[in-house]
Amino acid sequence: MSLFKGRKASKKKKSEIKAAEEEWDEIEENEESEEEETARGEEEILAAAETSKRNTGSEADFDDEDDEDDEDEEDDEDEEDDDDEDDEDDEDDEDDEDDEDVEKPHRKKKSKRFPVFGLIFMFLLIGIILGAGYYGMVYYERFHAMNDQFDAARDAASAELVEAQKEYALADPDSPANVAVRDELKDVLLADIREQVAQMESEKNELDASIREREEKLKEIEGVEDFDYYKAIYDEYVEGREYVEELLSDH
Amino acid sequence: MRSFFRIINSIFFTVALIASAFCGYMVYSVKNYPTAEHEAQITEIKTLTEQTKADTEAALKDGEERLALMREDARNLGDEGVELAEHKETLQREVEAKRTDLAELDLTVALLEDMPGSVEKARKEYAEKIRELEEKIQNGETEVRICYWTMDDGPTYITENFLNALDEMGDHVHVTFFTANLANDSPNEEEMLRREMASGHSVQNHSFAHVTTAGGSVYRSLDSFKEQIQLQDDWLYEVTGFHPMIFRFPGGSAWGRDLLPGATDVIEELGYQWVDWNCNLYDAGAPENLPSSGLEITRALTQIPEEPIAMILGHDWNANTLVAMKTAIPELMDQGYVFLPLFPESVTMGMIAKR
Repeated sequence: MSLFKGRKASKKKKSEIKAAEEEWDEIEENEESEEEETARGEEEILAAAETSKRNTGSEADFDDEDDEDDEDEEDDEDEEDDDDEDDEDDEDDEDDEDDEDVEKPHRKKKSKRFPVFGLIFMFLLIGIILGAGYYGMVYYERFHAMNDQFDAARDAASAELVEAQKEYALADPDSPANVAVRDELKDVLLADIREQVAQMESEKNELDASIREREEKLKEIEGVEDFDYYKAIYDEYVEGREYVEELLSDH
Repeated sequence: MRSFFRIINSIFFTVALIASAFCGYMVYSVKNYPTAEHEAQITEIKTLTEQTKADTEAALKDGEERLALMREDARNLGDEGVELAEHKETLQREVEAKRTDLAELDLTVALLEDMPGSVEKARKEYAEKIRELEEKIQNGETEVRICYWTMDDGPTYITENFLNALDEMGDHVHVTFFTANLANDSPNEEEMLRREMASGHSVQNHSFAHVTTAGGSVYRSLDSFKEQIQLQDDWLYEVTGFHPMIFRFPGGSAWGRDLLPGATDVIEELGYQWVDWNCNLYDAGAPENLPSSGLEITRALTQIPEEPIAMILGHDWNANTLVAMKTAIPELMDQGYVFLPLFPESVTMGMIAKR
């Protein structure tokens, strides 16, 4: 909360705080010179020590009380800052400054203490940063790996699809290339059939000529004497053979 | 120092906030990564690919079928293809018919150019089938029985009657004529011989003169015997155009071989086979011994059923034989006999014992 307090202070307040801190530094220097002077004598030192011890005890109590007061005041300030961030009155600020001015002499000794809390908080923040950054990067890498993996799979599938579509384009029977192939085949087949028809016509003519020749020859043979006689014997033998074949097959 | 830490911590705090936000955002992004959506996209692409491949296969098959149809039938080649295909089919039918006609004509021409050769070829095929049937009968493989009805000494003045009667009995009733030129005199011997041949009967050799008495022309000597066979052979060839191939001894082989030892050698030398009979109608011989009616001859036929291959001895100069034949053949046919012509390929050659 104290960090936010600093962030929330106005510029004016910051300058006043700076001035107070400078004044605080001068006071510290003066106090150091006074301490040197008091250390010159042992008795003085002891007395001073005892006095200082008493004073220190009472002062410590006082300081503790002051600290508590300070903390309360700071808390009050924080609360005020938190409650009225933007609507803070200048007067209140001045009052606070006055309070601080009064309190600063008490903070002289406290400020000498190292800000452990700040350090711890810093390391804590560093840890958070490193941890979050590390895991963020891990998940970032994982996210991109998944993206890459799916992109690669999608690209591969898409490439296969493109290849399949190319093959389909080649295989499509209605594609211009295949239509051209069929047209070419059609021409070849038609030419082949024309040739076959021509050959058949030629063969038919040759057969006609051969048949006429045989028929003329038959007329000559049939004009020969005894043709009917021989033919009758031949037919009888053929019919007789067929009759016996029937007997053989029937029994 | 305090200020220093304040500033530093402020900065660090801001950075920590950013880092935490970044970390939270990335964790959130990873945890809520749209894997299913990506996988669905990829699956969709793959499905589309598979579908495209299936379409490709179907298209290839379709294309091949179209090409096959074009090759298979010219009617799939458009109007010109239809016209050509029909013309080709018409031509094919005509050419096939003409080829068949020409083949038949060639066969006919070849057959007719050498009619005797063609007839002889057909006779051999017929004779081989008869032989096959005989063997089945001998082996008991069929219930069919064969009757070789033989008639000796023709042609005679009543041979025509026999032929007419046989014609009336059906297309497949054939007999065998053992002819002898001088045995019986008739005015139409040559015509009868040709008719016998043209009717599918077998015409064979029974010697030229058929003079069988001791010192007669047939068995006077081996030379005379041979001459008698050759004279009849020449006459039959001159009249019918075919050489006979079976010889029957006038009076039977027992008598002939007894009178003329070595007669069978002569027959073999002339390329002949010889045959006797196993059923005698006793329709020849001295007039006083001839059966007085067809009934008597028919009674003689009762011995036939004992023979699965019967060889009947008859004569086509005896009218009673004609009468008996008209009755006997139908009866025998009812008993399972078939009447076939006798050829030298028959199993009966030289083996039929005389009854």
